[in-house]
Amino acid sequence: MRALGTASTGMLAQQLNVDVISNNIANMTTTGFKRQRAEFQDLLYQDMRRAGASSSDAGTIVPSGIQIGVGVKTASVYRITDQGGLEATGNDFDLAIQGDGYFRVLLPSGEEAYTRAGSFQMSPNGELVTQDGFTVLPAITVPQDALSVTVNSSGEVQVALDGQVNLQTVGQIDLAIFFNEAGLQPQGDNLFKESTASGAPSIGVPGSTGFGTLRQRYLETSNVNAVGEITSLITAQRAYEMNSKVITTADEMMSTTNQLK
Amino acid sequence: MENAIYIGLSQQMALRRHMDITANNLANMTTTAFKSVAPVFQEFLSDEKQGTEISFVQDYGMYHDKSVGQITGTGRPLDLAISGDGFFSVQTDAGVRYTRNGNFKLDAEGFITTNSGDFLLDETGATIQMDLANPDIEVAADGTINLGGQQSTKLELMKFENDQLLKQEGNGYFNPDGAEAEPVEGIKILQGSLEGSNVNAILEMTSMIEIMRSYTSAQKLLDAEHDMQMKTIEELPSMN
Repeated sequence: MRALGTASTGMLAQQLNVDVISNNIANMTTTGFKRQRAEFQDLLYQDMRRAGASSSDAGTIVPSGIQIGVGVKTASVYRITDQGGLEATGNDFDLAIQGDGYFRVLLPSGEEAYTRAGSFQMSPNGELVTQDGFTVLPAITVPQDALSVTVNSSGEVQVALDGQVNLQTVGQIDLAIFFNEAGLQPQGDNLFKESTASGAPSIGVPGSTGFGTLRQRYLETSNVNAVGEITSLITAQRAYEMNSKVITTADEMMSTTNQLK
Repeated sequence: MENAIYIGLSQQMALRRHMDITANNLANMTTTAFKSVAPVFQEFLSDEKQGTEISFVQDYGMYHDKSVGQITGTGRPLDLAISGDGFFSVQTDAGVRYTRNGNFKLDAEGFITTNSGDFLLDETGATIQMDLANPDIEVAADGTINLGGQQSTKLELMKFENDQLLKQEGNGYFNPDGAEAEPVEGIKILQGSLEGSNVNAILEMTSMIEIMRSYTSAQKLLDAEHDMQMKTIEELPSMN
């Protein structure tokens, strides 16, 4: 019976749905995390009776044929990149992006990665680095004797030095934007890599057309909406149950057939 | 003589197909913009020479429930839901297809595509490319979409006189299969939302119980007919 296979595709889809939802809930307090959503599509259809086939020799045709679908498939699991909330932390090296863009990070392998999590730190030689110690690009070195560090909304890093009236600019943080940011390849540790689907990054100064602005001493929280996730979880669980009920029914029908004398 | 058996079998075959369709509806309970399907049965009369007419069951066709599914917000600019009767036009390798699934993406060059990578079409039948410098995508209720700067275009929204003729192809696509599409006015595009599946779980579960019970009673009919034949075979020789 086709129904058995169809229902099993339904159960597999809901299982994946729950996997995605549970990852969202697990990352509810991850800095800069973007929630994901599983998108489903109907699978193939089998033509049992073609629409338009002639139904009599008087030239009448079948108005709508019979097409039986064979289940559901996962089309994609995509990130929803709307803005997360901004949380004040008071830490000088915490930066949040308000709007579009990613910080650029140099991986130890020499490759470039991108992140929205702006919880940066200082390295022993005064460089701005991520929580994992990877350099933020372009490299910015803060002098050891700096009294305070200021990052303005357009990414200029300025330091106050002892005995100097004016702030001194020591670097400029830039951002990368992508045509299709949902196509970025997630690497874990809040990092993403460029992919064929995302397209090449276009790099610019925060605040210029198309780029977001920076907020110092703030972090972007995850954009997971707890109520929304729990509701999806309930739907997924019920849909899973109903598909398992289909399997039971199909099984009962086959067992009835088996009892034929 | 075996007519009762054949009638019972015709019912069981139709019920099995009905079950397959119900299973597909339930499997697609969370599929974006899925339209549920119901089979249409008819009586199939066979002319018997003796003058008695025998009616078989035949699954004649199917009916697409075209009601709009529940629209839920996703907060993503390229999630579009159609409120009202209409379809987005999509350019695939096999020709233009129509879909109500408004879960669109930007590809690496900024073209708006579906999940399968097929291009969304505008009013003039051209593909739509966005400007990277202006990533804020705004889609108005009438389908007007800004391309960045002062430029804008309008999505091609089509409808069919008889949308039951459309053929489902999977991926949420409908093949017009010869039917004529015409532009539709007065429907609304909701940005940041997706249309859910319109499968009614309660209806499907009830119809599943019904299928199961009918199937069992058809089986009973077959059993009874079988018993009758057995009896005939046993008793006939002792009649003389």
